[in-house]
Amino acid sequence: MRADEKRTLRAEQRKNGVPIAAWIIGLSVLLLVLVIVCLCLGQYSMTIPETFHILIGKLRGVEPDWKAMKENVLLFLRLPRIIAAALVGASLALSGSVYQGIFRNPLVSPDLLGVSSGACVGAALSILMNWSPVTTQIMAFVTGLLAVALTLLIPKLLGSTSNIMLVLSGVIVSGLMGSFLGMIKYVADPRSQLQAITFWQMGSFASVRYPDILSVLIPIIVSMAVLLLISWWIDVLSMGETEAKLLGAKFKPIRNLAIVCASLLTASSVCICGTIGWIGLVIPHFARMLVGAHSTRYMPVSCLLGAVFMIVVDTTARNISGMEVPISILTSLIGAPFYIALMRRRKGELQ
Amino acid sequence: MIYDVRGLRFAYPNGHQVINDASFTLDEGEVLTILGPNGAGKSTLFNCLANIRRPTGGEILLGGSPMDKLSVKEVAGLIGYVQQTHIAVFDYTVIYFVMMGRAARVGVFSRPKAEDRAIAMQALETLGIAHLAERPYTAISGGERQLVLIARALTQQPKAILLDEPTSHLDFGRSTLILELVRELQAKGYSVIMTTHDPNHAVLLGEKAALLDRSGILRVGPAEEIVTEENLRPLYRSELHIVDIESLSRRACLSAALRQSTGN
Repeated sequence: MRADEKRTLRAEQRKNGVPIAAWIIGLSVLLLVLVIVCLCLGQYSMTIPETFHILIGKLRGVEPDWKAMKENVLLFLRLPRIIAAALVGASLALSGSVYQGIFRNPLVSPDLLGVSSGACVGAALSILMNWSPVTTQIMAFVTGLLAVALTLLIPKLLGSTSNIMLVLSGVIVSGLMGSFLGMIKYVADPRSQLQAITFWQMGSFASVRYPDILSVLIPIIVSMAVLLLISWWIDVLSMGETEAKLLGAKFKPIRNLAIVCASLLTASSVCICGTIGWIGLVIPHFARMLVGAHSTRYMPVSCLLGAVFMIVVDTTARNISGMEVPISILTSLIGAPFYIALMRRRKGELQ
Repeated sequence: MIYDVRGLRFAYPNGHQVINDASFTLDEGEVLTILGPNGAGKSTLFNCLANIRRPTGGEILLGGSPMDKLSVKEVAGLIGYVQQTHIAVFDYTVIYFVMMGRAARVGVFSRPKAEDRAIAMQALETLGIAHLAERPYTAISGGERQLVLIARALTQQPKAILLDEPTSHLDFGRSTLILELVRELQAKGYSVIMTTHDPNHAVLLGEKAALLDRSGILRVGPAEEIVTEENLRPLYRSELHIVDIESLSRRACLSAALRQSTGN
């Protein structure tokens, strides 16, 4: 056996040797530990015992013997932020995984069909009209989904619904949304509105509170559950339309269900924290490298890794300097070199 | 009766008529080898037979029912189609890849069970490639991939297997192995339809053979009646010869000597 054959074989055994349950339990524990640690970190830092004391005290409903300020920071500023970061990280990583599978392209990100660019237009419009932050969220969610609907509609009108047409249509819609956004930015007041739009485009969890999380919790949980349930089918679809049909798969219904759920995940994320790049592209690769390409194995791992990564990035964003750093700046700063490292390790397999 | 094809016609939307008249029947355990020059429409004919393309005329009865009345699942339960090319994107393991042959029998919110895995494993054993089960599909050779694709078709537990030029990427030895495999499949009761560029394959298999010519007409008959010099010369526009080879006690199709170069 040649040396490189031995290496692939060993890599394969390693990927399949560890039961997936072990990965999931391990990453869940890591996630939990991170939540606790990141709760303590911040401008107003606390020790871990102190944090536990407050959390457990609150759960058991005992009379507070701690400063109300501490409780507020912990429960109403940091905890919602961390929960939101975990949800968004998991959502973006999962929808990226799904898109890469159904479009048979490991270089695809959740924004392929124009969700984020559509959501940006809605949010920017709302900021331009000085509507409330809640309206901005709703507008982002609705226009994000409208953009995807338009992307799905164009190939239908042209009478060809192949994947290539869908991807081209996504490019067209993203371009169109880009120009709408340009127009809105052009007429926005540069001192207040333009800044708000730009900040929103770069993503931030700074203003996330419980009601924001509650408003997107149901679509996120339902979409995630559906996608994890149909994960095996995503692999069947990754054979391409003709082959999937030959194998007996109802290609279009399953593909459309997957697209709707993945778009709901992205739209839900975008509407609570703005657009965040890179996660949906990089995390699925990382997950595949750890546990192999089978969606039934790597999709849950991708979710957990997304959550872990996002919490780390957000905690960095609020601790790195006195000022909040927009999330997208960090995700691309970390994501780009990370992606290069992944490509380097996988170059043999991707030729 | 697996296939009963009557007066099949197919034209592309731009009016290009590819198949003008194709009729044949295929029983359980029968083998049909289809010969034809490049571009005659062998793959198009296959795509019609596999319900990927809808014929523009005639009809196909699959297991007694009109093809266009059958669902994707029903067709997949009756025929396993091994296409000529497969482009791998993700490095699934061989066994996982082969298990996708169970798609017609797995629910939408479900995934293959242990019994599906056992069926896939059995298909790998049938083809003698069980040792590849845990290897990544992207890291095996072209010949092995061809076998894996056939294993996936077997995992569908179909009545008929369609092989579109199964030997096109294989070396001489492997090609013969594929022909022997066709025989084995036949012995197990599968019907096989295969396209090939080599008339010798039809001769070696010695079953039903068919010629698809450039005008899109399919002629079907026993191999010895179909694979003749009179039939093949116009088909391939080549001075080929069918000769009896005593030492092998079989006929073979050979091309004539090459024309002498004039040196200009």
